Amino acid sequence: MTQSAQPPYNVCLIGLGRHGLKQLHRLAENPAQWRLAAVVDRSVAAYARFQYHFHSLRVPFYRDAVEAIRSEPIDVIIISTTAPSHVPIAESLIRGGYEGGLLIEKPISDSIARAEDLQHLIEEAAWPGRVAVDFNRRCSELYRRVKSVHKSGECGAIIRLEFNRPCKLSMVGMHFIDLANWIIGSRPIEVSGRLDMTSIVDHRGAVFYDPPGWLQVRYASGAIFEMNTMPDAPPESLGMTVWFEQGKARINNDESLAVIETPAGEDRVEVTDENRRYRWIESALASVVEASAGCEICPLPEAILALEVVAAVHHSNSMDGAIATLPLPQEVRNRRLRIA
Amino acid sequence: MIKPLLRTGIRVLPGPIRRPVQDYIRYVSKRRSLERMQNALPYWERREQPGEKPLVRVGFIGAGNYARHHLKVLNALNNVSIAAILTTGSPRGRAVAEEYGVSNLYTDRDAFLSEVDVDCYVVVVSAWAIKPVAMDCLATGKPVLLEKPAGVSPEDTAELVEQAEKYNTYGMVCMNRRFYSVIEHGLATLATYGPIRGAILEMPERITDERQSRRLTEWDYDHFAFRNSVHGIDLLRYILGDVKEVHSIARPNVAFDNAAASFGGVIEHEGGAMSAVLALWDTQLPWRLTLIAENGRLRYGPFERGWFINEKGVEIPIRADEIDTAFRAGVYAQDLHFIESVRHHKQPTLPACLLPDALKTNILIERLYGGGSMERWR
Repeated sequence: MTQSAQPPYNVCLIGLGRHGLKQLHRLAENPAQWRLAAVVDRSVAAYARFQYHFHSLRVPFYRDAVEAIRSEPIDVIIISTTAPSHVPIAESLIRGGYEGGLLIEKPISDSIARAEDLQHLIEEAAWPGRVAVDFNRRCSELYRRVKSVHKSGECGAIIRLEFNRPCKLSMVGMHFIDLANWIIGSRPIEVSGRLDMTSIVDHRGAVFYDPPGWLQVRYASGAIFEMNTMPDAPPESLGMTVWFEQGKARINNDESLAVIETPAGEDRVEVTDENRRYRWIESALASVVEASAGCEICPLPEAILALEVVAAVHHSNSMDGAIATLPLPQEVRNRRLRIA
Repeated sequence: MIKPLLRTGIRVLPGPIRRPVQDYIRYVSKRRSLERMQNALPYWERREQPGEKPLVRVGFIGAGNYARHHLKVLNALNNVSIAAILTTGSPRGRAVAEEYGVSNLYTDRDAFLSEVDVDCYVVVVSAWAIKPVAMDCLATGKPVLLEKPAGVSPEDTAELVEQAEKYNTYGMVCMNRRFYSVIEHGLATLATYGPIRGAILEMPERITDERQSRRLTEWDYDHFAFRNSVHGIDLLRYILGDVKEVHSIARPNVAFDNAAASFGGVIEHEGGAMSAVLALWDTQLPWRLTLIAENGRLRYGPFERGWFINEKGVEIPIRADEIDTAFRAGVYAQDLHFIESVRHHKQPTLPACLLPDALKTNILIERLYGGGSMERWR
């Protein structure tokens, strides 16, 4: 395996599902920065679909990630499979001698304990690579602005953060759990929540169970985060709202506009490009490859914390909405959630 | 404007005429709808990339019917030269060499391997000769594309694997079904319809008709599972993944020359998919393969013809790349993949079946068919 010090960086994509293909389309628009060196998937059907879109690129295909890193020069790997395989793939790469950048899709795992196993492996092996989890909204101008307002103290402490949008809890929902943790900047200590009875089976398969739900998180700082991803969330409440001691921030459901009311006046941040979500992914990837790229990517411990909040919601739901105290007990940390 | 007029016109027709007209209109409408659905399915063309390419010199071994399929492809590829052909010395060999403009004809294997300067070898000889010829070619350290079977037992194939490793080269086995465009287009379609959960493979062989035809040798018929059925078993393993567990029943009927032999198996694959294999010899062809995803399925029978069945049960024919009719199906894409790998000095990646991959298929055949060669049961 060789690593180039400069662009175009050699990218290996593991996981050729819908999301992986969209990531590739984005990277393919910037050949000066990214070169697709290899693709990996257990499914030859997924590879065939990849060929339909990218056959002219003649990209080598492997079924095994370790075989890919031993055969091709790779600088950064995106693990874009479903949650249960994230940690086993990452572990096999690290044990297989890979030392480059690793961007792992969220959620980091389907179990807190397995995610912590990965953290321990990295620490014990003193692994020299860089790993991050793809909570790419941290790379969005809108959320970065809200974070910087909070960090500056100009609006005081966060009292409450609210997010509403009909979605699956561990899919889009988990992005906003991470954003809440990141923006508030304090440790979550209590979680309560309820899940919908129905989880729609999607293209990922019937084995996954990821219903929408409602949750409330209390942080050590006293801040409260509430999220409603149920289908009946009121339309006028959709999007994110942050109440500071002396101000307020509102990001619309479309994630194209942030309006921040500070003591100094109103600040507006607008993003209009239609492909912005995949631009954020590209920014996250650039930050994995180059630490100085400017985007504050999500390290492993913070991704595990986001997963713990989701696990706490499932645990609270099993107790009819009773409060689950964090850190969760080991038996709950060991449980495998049926999330994708 | 026209449709309402047409409807009114049809309605005023007398009953015995109106009904066939309505049926015909429905048939045309349904056919057009099916054509639209067919054209919406994934499809792409497999062609060489444009531009200058370094020369690849091929040492070709064989001059039989199947050899022509490969020679036709190699002749069509840019900057590929057939440096020499090794044959048994029959008139057919001379005719083939002449047809493809190859002036260098050999009948002595040792001379061929030592005198001709090549980048790779292509071995398309009789099934019984593939292993010994491939072993000699691998010993030169050059890449080898070899027809199947790559051995008629796992032990045979393991020897080929070791030979390739010993001489730091590779052998790619011609499992051309992996390269069938109709298979690839079908898989690309199915990928959008949820996880693939399993498959059903039917592999009848008309063994009694075959033996009586004497088309092949007794050796070929005694090893028919490895020689012929290998294509279906390999395709199943390629699509669903490596095998975790096999439960099988084999009734080879050796005493009756395998007449009405029956083989069946249930396989658990490593990714969690499950497949069922049924090989009822002396029943009706063709081979049939059904791939089952959560919200759609593919049906092949024979493998050259496929249909995607959507969640409403509509059967949509899958289009094949024209290259699979201009040349023997799968052979153009397969041979191009090999030549491009030789050109870039890299081992071919999937869908190529390298020797270690072929070994896994042969191990599965042995487990399903209960012992490999029929001779072992005598």
